[in-house]
Amino acid sequence: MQTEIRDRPSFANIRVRLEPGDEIVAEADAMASMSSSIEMKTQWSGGFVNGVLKRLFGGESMFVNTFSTQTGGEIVLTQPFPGDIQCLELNGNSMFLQPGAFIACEPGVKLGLGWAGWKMFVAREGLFRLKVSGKGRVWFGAYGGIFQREIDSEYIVDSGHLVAYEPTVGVQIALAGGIFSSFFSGEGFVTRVNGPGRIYMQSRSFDGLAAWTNAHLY
Amino acid sequence: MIEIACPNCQKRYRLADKFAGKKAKCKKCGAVLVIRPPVAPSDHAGASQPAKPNPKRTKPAPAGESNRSTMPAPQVPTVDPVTVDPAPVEATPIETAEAIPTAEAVPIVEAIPVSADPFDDIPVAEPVTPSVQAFADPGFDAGFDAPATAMPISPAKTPSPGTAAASGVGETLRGTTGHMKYEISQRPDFSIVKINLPQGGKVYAEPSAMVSMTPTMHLEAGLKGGLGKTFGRLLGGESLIINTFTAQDGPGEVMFAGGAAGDVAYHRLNGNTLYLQRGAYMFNSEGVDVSGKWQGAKGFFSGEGLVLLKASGTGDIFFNSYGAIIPIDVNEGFMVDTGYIVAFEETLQYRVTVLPGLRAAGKIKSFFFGGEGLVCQFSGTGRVWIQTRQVKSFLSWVNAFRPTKSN
Amino acid sequence: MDQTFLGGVFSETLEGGRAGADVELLPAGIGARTPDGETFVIPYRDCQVEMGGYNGRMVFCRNADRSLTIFCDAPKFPKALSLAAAGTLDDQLAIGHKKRRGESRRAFLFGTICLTAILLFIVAGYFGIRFGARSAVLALPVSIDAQIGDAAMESMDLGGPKVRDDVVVGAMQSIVDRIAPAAAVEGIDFRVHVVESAQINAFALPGGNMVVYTGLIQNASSPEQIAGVLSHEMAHATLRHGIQRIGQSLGIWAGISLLVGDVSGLTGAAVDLMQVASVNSYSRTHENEADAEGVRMLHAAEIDPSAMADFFEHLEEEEGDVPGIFAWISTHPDHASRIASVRAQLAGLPPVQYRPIDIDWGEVRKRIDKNIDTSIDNSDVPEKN
Repeated sequence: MQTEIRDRPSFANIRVRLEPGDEIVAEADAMASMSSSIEMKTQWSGGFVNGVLKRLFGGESMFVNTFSTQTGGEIVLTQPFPGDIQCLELNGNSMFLQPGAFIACEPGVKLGLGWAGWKMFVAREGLFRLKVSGKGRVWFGAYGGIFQREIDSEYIVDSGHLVAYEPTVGVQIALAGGIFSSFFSGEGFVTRVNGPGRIYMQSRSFDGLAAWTNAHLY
Repeated sequence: MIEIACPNCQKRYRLADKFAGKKAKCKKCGAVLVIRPPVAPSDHAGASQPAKPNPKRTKPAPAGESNRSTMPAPQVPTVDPVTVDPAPVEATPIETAEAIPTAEAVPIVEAIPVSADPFDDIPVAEPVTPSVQAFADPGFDAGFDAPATAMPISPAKTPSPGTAAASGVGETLRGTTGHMKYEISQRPDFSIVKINLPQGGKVYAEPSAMVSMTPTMHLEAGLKGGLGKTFGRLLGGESLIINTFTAQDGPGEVMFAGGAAGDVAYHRLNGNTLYLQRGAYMFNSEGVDVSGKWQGAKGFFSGEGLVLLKASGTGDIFFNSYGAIIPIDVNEGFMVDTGYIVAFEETLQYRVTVLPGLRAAGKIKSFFFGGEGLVCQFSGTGRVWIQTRQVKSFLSWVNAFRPTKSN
Repeated sequence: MDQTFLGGVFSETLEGGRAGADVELLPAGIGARTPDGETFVIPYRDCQVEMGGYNGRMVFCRNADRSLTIFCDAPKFPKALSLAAAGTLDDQLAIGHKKRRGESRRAFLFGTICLTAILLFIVAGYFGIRFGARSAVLALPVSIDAQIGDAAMESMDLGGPKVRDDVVVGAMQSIVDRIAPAAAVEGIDFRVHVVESAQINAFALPGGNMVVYTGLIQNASSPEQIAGVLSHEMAHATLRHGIQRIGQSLGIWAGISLLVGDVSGLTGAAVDLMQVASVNSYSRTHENEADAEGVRMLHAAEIDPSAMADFFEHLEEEEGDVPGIFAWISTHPDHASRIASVRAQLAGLPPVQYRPIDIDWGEVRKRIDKNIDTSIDNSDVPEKN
């Protein structure tokens, strides 16, 4: 299987070349186009209950599609919003993805939904998060450009800007500054992440876009 | 009787009708005047009453409403052409006495060389020696340890003037100034700026711009510059509050980004002034003063004109855009739709008018002209930064998809 | 009795720097085996133990130079590690536990405080904004108005050149000076500026700066009519409507920002409100208040207030024909009812001997018109394009 992420960071998409024997699992609405030689099998994502939960809280589709081919073909996978896509390779380790970030993965990767806790909700990261683990590659995307950072001590990230983070990273909610400063600065709550581990950040957030749009609507 | 005012110096004239259609020279400043015939009331095409500066807008449905029903059925959004909004504008503005001299055609600088063949590639400019000096202070580098990976210190690259695409439009811009190191990445659509400050370094930023920072940075929100400047900023379209980020506990790093898709540009001020349009301001270093320039109760046409922020002093300023940024060096004249202006230097004179030639058009289709038909005419010498998208068009476009409030 | 737990390892030698691993508590130290078969060991005596991770319960074991980290978040791991290390790591584990407990207690406290605060603000904010903004703002000293007004004046583009003519400016100032003593609030120093423009408008900024456009003077038929407009504008300043407006939008903004945190959009909305407000002045309540107060002040200054109503009627007639008027009209909508309420208020006022305004009206008009030339110079301008 050959894959390539093109047109980064604004309208990134994944071009996949499948050969007989290859398989790729993708979110239900990720497929933009595919050769007629590609076969698609739809399943509940992680079972019925999980699938429904994922839809309601995880921002993911209820279904996943497994693509395979008898003769070879191509697929283009995308995401609904403008932004970047990145690929990460799991080797037995795991990663937490924010709701809506997951796009596709290789069959060796397991998808699980977990409760993220109220603090992640406050951090505008959603009540649930998707845990990807196992062996294989995972493709995920976000609104904005995606860049990663290895942290080994504390780092502060604005709410809504965290795309993915390793389970080894501790996450706490804090005020951006003093009480007055936090709210009047417009930053409000921030997320304090503590390493060791890797985090993926996005250079825009949906909240920021909504705020910007609303500001101009009055 | 014809009443006109000189568009250049505003000197007023009241003349007999016999002068209609004639040209004359202003007695005060010498500009050429075209004396238009008096407009009869019937010329107010379709307008039964004069425009109100604050036309009743169709209130957009608040975001929460679509969530109220348990399972929101997809509503077919009624297409509500935004013509209601700016339609009143068309009737009045011209008659408030400023006749635009048609004798002086303002040349529009061809900023983008385009060939006749639409499938030809647009030529990409060569990088030009930057017009901004990156002020490298040897003591600065020795004084602090950049916590992030070391960045190559190179002068800031600004795209060359008057050309369409900067070379390497997606590449990361880096630079060092007397106050900080900066890196602009994820260009051109989702640009984010990372800056490294030595201990004690400060930057002043608009609210909500911060994306991430090291714990050594301290954030304080305040009204900077006292009440007067603060009020001025409010009127200039920005927030009252300015956030001060200080690298208190050691060298620090902080990242800033805007809310919409777009680019970030860096400009070095050397005692001069830059005007920014509303929403463009991001952050600045010490030494730069930011205040508002307000058009006041002039009741500018529909009540909107250029809402400008004034940045002056010596230091660094970063501003963002909606869309990509194209810097243009103006030498004679240049005309830009007001929605596309990001920033411009003070050395330029500017005037906001209705696009000449639209006046006699009667009904103006708002979406075609971005809602206003207001353009800004620049003259003199200086640089203008324009953006490749404008908010109003986006809002008109988005508006068609928003669920409408049912009465 | 080697136990195996599911965990992971960070090491620079690994591709990607990390991998999942089976963590084993060996007799000599902590071992980890990756799916590819690579193995790592940290002897217990070199081990630095920390706790952390997304749930706070993850145990990190690091070697002396921190180049290798083995971690595990299995619930039974800390206990098993303690046993396997024969108590040598117990104090490190204890510190880790204490820190974690402290952190989770702090987080819980923080969460509860925030929730309570949010609920409080929702309640307080609603009432505060509705009723508090007005009185809070009025408690501010009048000198603040002047500061704000002066700042606004400085950054303002007046829309025309200032008229320097002593007679004209002096006449306007004398009208204002006659009305000012009747003001309800002390401490506002009304200074008049006359600006040349076709706008039929005048306005007062908080603190007393006033601008009168020559268009207004030209379109009024008597100085009493101008006094009517001026006293209405002065009422806005003495009733401190501008400050109230700022306070209201700030109040809403501040209130909501406290609830939500990220407020750039709301700030922008408030700013827009402010701009729209400042261009199109005040709300209907404010307008009605200014009308009533304006009439009262005129009456107290012994100027005939019916001139105000006359002026509105005059403007109403002219409405369709003279476009310059819209500046006044649109900021003061619904003039039919305003004319009616002014007349009604007049009927209720005690009769007073009105004195005319003592300025040379004819001279003022002449000087304004003088700025307007009635001939043109078309000597060396080509006739054709």
